[in-house]
Amino acid sequence: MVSEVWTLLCERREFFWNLCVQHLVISAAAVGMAIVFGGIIGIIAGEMRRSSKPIVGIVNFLYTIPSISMLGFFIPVFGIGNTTAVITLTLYALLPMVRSTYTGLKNVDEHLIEAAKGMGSTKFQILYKVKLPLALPVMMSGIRNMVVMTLALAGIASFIGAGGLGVAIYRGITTNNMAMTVAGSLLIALLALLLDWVIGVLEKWRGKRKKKGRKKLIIAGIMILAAGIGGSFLWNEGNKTEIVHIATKPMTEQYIMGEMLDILIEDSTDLQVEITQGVGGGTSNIQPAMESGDFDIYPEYTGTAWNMVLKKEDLYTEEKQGELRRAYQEKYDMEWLGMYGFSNSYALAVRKDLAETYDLHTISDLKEIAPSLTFGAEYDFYEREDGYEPLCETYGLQFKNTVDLDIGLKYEAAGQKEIDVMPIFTTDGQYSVSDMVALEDDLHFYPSYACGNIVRGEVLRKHPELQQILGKLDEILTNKEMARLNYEVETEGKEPRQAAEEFLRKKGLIL
Amino acid sequence: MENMIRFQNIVKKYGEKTIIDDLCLDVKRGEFVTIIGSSGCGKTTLLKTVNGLVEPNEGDVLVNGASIKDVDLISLRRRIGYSIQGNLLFPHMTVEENILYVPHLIGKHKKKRETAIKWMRMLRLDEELLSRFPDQLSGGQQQRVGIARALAAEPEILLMDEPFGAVDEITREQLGREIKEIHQKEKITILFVTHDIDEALYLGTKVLVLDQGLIQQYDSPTNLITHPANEFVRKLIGHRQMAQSV
Repeated sequence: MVSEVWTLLCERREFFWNLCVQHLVISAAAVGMAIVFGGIIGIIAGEMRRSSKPIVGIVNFLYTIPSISMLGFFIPVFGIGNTTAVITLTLYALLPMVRSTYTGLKNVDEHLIEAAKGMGSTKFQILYKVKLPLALPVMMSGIRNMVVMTLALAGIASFIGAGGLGVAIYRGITTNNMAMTVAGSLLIALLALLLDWVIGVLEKWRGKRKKKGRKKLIIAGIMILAAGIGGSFLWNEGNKTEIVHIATKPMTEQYIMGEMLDILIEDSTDLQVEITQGVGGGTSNIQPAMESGDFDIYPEYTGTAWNMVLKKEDLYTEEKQGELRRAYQEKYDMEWLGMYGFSNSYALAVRKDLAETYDLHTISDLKEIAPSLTFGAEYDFYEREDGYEPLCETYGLQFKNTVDLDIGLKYEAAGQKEIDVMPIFTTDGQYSVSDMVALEDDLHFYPSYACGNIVRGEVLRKHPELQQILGKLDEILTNKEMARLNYEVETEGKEPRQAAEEFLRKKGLIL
Repeated sequence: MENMIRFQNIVKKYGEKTIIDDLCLDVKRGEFVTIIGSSGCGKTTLLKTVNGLVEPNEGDVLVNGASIKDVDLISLRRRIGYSIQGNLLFPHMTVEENILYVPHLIGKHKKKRETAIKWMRMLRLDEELLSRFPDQLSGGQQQRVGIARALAAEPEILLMDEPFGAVDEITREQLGREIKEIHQKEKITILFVTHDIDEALYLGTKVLVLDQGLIQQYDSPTNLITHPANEFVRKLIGHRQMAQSV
């Protein structure tokens, strides 16, 4: 494991280096803003005692909102990406800053304050000549905690499409690449430790009593710099150039398709592509961002679009694709382009030897021999609305017995002939190398989930060449091929980009 | 001699408790008034009415003939030196920054360092100490810096609230001599709160004896000893141990 992580870090130095830089920039922006705003709020709370209770109460309340839902609130307002991440991180960082500023100010000796007052200091002079310098050690320890916390929390920023080391963690989790996850986590921990140490050194150095004026300048400089990074960063976010923004959902095959789109578009146009891989929450977060124009293209599944986006309640079959396309054009001015040819659906699979012996092709074919077969599935399959019972009812199946299995052990159990039939995803990486055969859902028990790209109409009108490029993706992947690519990434440890590139080359779409 | 400070029918209450009860007093320019009385008799409260840290419930304080209700308190305070019980130097400032605190507030930029050095000399402090921080000084040095800080803006009035409270007997006597010297040299008006009758008799040109918010006697030290006004004053004088040294 250790050597795997090390090799990965060495091989993809640049990738990790960029993530580290992004991670630091996002965190610095949040920390800078929290220092400025949290400091101001803390001072207000400390100076106007009556305001302190409501202020601290509100800040405490913000802190109790789970970060995931906080991100969820902001996505509709600020869109997906770094802005939302920075704002969320800033809000969380406020609490330690406000608290430490408030506590620091409150703990300054009352007699000292009275002495300063008695000597003719104005309120403001008392604040900046006496209270703030004396509160600084407490504030610094608050800042120190806050920095470490923000660095750790920034790991979830990638969940909503922001950069940073969370990208590595998240990608590692979704593509079953443990080394990637560990490398990302490790780097976050290292960054946190490093910064904690740096601030510790700074604190000690500040504590040394020399060249005071210059020190104040440097501290002020650091604060302004951090706030500046934050500001410029938000400003930059607002500027959009000729970039095509591609989003993907947190699934291995989506990462691969994202890379394919990137390679194809950059290979045959002058457009620059920016992929936001693995947007947390998938469709529910990507669709609003498509509508607001933050994203231009993303791979989607017809059945998901039908149910989740168009909010239709009936079962989707590919006969309704015309209706689906029209609804997208009329409602959202979006097109379905480049239907890959595979479908990520549920299916029932039987062992190959059984399929050959009994000549099984459809689920209906199972009916005759089901009483002699063992059915295996993950625990929740037996409870779900589209799970075991309704399935058996539709097809009139009765199995000899059923087995509860962990989802990861299903294929192994089938390989050892402990189970005969099981539900699968048609693009499951393991399926591509297993001795299982998927049976056709001839009674349409499951909705169809054919995969294609959704593209914003505005982008197509602006860059008509995309129409033809995306068209090249029509029917290039079968279920087994997609499953095979998933397997290469998840089990063989290939990078999604490499898998995508090799595949496109094999198909002759790039040189 | 003209009046420097006039207390006009001062009443101060904290809740139900009356701390100062209808007090009237004139302090002449250049006077060194020591204020003595049992603890809780309102000494410190009375002192703080002069620079507006305490606002009386009734009555008025006139400084230089002007009611402190009518003047800008901030600039008034800058013209009144304030030296307080215990060690209340600003711990994050050097000795120099502490001494020059009020001149800095006012923004007198010329000859600051010389001012600091002048007061260091006056209070027999080594110039070397200028760049030290308060926690690197002895208790006596801290008190001296505190007094230098109160004097640095060359105030007409100096308010001192048990400034020698935290130092040993020997240092206390030295400081007493020095402050007396400064009073004679600088011709400032001093109000000096103490709970030590020897100190009060030795330092003051006038002694103010307070009890239960009322003036028991306001007189020269000699008259206080020879003609105590009442039983309270007599007892107070009787308690002194080193009367002969006065």
